[in-house]
Amino acid sequence: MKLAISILLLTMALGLHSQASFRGGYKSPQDLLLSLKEKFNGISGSSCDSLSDNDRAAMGDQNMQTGEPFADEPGAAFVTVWSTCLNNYSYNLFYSTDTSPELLAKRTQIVREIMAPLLAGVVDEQVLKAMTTVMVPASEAEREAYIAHLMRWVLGTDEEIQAYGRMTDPKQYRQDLMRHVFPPGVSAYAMEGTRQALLILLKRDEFLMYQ
Amino acid sequence: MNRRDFLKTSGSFALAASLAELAFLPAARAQGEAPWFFVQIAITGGWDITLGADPWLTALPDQRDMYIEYNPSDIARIGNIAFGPSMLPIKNYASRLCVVNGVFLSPSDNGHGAAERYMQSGSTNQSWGDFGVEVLETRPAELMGVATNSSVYLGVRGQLVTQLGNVPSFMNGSSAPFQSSQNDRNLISRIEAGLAGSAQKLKTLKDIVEMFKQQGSNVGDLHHLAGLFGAGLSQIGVLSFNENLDTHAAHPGTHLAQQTKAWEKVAEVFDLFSKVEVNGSGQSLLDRTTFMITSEFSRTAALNTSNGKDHNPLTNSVVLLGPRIKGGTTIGGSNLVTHAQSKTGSSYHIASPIDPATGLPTRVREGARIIRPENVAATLIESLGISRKRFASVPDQTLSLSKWALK
Repeated sequence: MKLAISILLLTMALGLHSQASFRGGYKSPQDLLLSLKEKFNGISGSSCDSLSDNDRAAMGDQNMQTGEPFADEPGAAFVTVWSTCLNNYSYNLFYSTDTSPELLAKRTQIVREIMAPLLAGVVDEQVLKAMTTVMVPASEAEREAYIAHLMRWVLGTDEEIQAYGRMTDPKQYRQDLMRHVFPPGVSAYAMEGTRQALLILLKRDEFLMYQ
Repeated sequence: MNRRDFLKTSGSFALAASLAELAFLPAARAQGEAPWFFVQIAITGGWDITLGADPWLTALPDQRDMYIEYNPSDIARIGNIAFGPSMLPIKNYASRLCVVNGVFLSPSDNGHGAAERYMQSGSTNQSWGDFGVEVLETRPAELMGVATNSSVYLGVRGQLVTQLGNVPSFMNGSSAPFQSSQNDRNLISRIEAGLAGSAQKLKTLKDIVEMFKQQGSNVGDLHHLAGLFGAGLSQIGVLSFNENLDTHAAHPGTHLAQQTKAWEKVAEVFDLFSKVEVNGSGQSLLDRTTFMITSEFSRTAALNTSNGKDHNPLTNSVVLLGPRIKGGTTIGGSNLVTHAQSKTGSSYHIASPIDPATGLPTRVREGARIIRPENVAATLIESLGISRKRFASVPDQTLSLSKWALK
């Protein structure tokens, strides 16, 4: 009986722990990391696979002494930790030199999803090679369509995005983002611009908050 | 009012962001003085003080009482400090160091965690954070809060903590944050815009890191700590050096080598800090930084049956360095109680009471004081110029060692 009660209390404590988060609807540290891992198809996030207590605190975890989050809302420390995680995941996705078949398969699948408009017709075996050489589309309309695809992949449809009330004009946002990561008149490979766009989008409240 | 209360009171992020630049300014600088810094270094695992700050100095002891692996006559003495062989890497800084020996924690071993908390905070109350966290509670926080290479114990405090391993991405990610022209209420975008407002500090951080690179350094956490301090992005550091010192077996040779590595890292911090100038003041970070170097406890005097040394909370040492610390000084000491003298039949190494008039070990019990971690903490509070009444974790009536340890 004592054991059962102990397990129940422990389960409740762990449950409460995982629910800790900033105020205002931000996901708990655990859910944020799960969201990221899910987005990146289970590839490693290096140091972000298991965050330190301090990093978890920066991401909204509760202070076990007080039961309250360490901060009311994300701050500079959150940005630092989250940016590091995004960098880790995106480098491991686009720049990993690990040739294990399992990782290559995961990367292939996720890169195909992310860069789908640019990799049409490329066979699976060539996806990771093609992603490094495919160019940014020449026309502005194609570039904007590609950015729209990335926004949908990270944040959802325009309607879903606007439901959060953070972004008033998704089309304007798309165009601004496009000019930021794919500057007009510059012919470049698409991969780094794509990575930069993901880093920006994954810092949006629409990704960081519960629906 | 701490940073969190301040943000609550201000009621809006925008106001907080507009005032952030003010908050970045340390109190001293706001008053027209140069800033000061604080770094606490934990050499984890439990060091052998006879190999470091409290070496054996008289005739070789009976090895059943105390095992040492050097000739006491070879111990280097600089000023009033005796340098055990592992601590030689910092001997060039002897004129700035104050060694506090004979720091008593508890009559019995309570394990690494409890001892670490006590040594690191000066309090046995788990509500209080590491000493550096409590220091930060008394002053305006900078952008990056407490910088650490491992973890910081916060207790009930809500201070920001920056992992030094995250500094490279902070440097790279903050140069040109994306801002959309549409009415954007995204919180992270606004925070990043605020960070970009600290562009000069970021530039200084990058310049310092670049300077280290050009000097041939393999840039890592310690360089980033110096960079954050030099740039005014942080003033409090909590460092942990783990060199596997918990030698319950195979102590001879092993522990000395490992403990020497830890002191080499401390020397590296001192060296790096001496290369960074503070705000064109003509003074280096080292001139402006107060250091507290501890381990959770010492190790038992004699070897156990596994040729190891176990936890010894009966005596410990702390090494201090800082602008107000009186260099070349040793306070307190320790005694060896031989197996023949001991009621248990086993020898033990224990803190010696000090004469409150001299700070030196005394055998006269009347009026003598035992140094505890809170006495060291009280000394540091005074050395940093913080009002004792503002420092919650160490009661203001706690005896400080300032008379002997401070200039």
